[in-house]
Amino acid sequence: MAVRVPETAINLRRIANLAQTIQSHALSFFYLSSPDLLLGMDSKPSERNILGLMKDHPKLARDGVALRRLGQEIVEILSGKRLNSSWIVPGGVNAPLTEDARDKIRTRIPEAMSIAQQTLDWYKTVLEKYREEIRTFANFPSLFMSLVTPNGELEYYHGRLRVVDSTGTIVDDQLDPTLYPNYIGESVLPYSYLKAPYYKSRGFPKGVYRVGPLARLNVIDRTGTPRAEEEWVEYRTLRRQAILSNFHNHYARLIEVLYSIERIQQLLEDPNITSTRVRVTAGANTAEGVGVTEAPRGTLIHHYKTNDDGLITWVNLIVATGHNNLAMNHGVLQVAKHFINNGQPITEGILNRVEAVIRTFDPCLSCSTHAIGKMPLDIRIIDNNGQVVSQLKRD
Amino acid sequence: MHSVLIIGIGNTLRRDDGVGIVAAQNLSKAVGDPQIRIICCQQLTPDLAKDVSEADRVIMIDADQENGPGKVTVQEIMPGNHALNSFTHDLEPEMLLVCARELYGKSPDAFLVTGTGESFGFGEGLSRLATSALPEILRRVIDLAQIE
Repeated sequence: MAVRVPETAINLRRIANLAQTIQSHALSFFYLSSPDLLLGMDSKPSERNILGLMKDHPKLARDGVALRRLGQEIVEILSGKRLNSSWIVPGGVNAPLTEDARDKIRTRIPEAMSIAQQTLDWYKTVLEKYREEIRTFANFPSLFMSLVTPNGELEYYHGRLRVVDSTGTIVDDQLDPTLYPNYIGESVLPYSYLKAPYYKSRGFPKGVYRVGPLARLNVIDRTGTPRAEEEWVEYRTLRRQAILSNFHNHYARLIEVLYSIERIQQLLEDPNITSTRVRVTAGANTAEGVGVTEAPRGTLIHHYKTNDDGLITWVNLIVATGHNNLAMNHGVLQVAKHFINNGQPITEGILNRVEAVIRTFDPCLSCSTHAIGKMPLDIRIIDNNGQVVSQLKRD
Repeated sequence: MHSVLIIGIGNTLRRDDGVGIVAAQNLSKAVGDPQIRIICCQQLTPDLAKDVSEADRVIMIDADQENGPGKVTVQEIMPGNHALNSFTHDLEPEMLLVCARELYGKSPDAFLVTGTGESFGFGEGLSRLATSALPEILRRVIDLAQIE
């Protein structure tokens, strides 16, 4: 509509996005990935899930539930619904935040902060156990892309794009996200329904880039909140240059949870957050619009064209799972090459590592790779002549 | 005084799949008892375990495809003791009770009230048949909740 959204509405949208990040990261880490970490990559799939976690590590499972509930409840307090809310509307949001609602969210912050910090502290103590996975889980040079603030801090909404390479050097900075077709190409793979975006200046397929928590913590100069900043500085000691192993997405996700809680707290402290001026209205002034945010899984691009009545006539979406497509394929190949050895049988643990590397990206299909003992998977080893020499299939 | 949690389950964008949600929404408007809490969700997830553990009785309302169009059934639910085929996004009612018991030490009385629909395609609004089942669903839920 080409209108200027009120600042309060922008900040309320930011809070909703950060709350969504908390709940989504809690789902990814506690429900989907921590069973691998706590019960073991080689444990039985029927036990390696959230229910197994509840039996063996009930406190961690309760913490995961609590963080996820917090994120969901904040979204519900703001918008009236946990899912598919129509609260965020063109021109702002359709209801302001009341003082009571603000205070209700504030009371939940200390517990959430405590859980996030404790989980980070615990995670850092177990990281050493996963050296082999860290070395092989999509650990390769690539570009990394994310929104940032003008001074290089984390930004999930209303930011500009920055791209860094595997040495951590900034390739492009403060790019206008609405001009994404100028620097992101979209190729098609013959074996996949998912398109394969690439960074145009590097060409296809060399222009493979990653988005999401790992990328965000690689591209920034600082986080923008005190406790997350301390954790980020420590995290960055893992490697002098950009951190390449996708296994560290778990670590990055936990730092982002801490950041999101702190940032929500900061935004709630703004006296204008309860302002009732939260929406401007106008007609359809422009026939084309691009919106770019950092979703929990990474950069999310929505591009629409409309007719004179404001009805959509053309759509292009690049979602985080799409951005990461080439990198996910590369990661699966790397894990398979490392863990599958000539002549050795393919074990359940190997199958799980192939799933687990996908889970580090937390794609849309993350949960579908973690059905309780029911993830269908077919691994075939094919020789130079295209003959299948070994196969392990789980229906 | 006992506390009752009513959970409407379903997807209102898949026609009759939303019958549990519509029933729960109707109850929200009609029930003013502070001991009765009503929530809606697209599917059961472990996040609901705490709410479940805090109730003395849980009544879940969901759509059914099996029992003949328009039929309403009530089933008592017990905690499952085996891993069901289930996603972490989408628990069976029995497993939600297990989550409540394992995490918070309490699994309350639980019932599942279902209304069988006939139209589960994309779209909003219940079919005539599912709409006609609503009064019976509400009556059964109110009986179970002992709502006067």
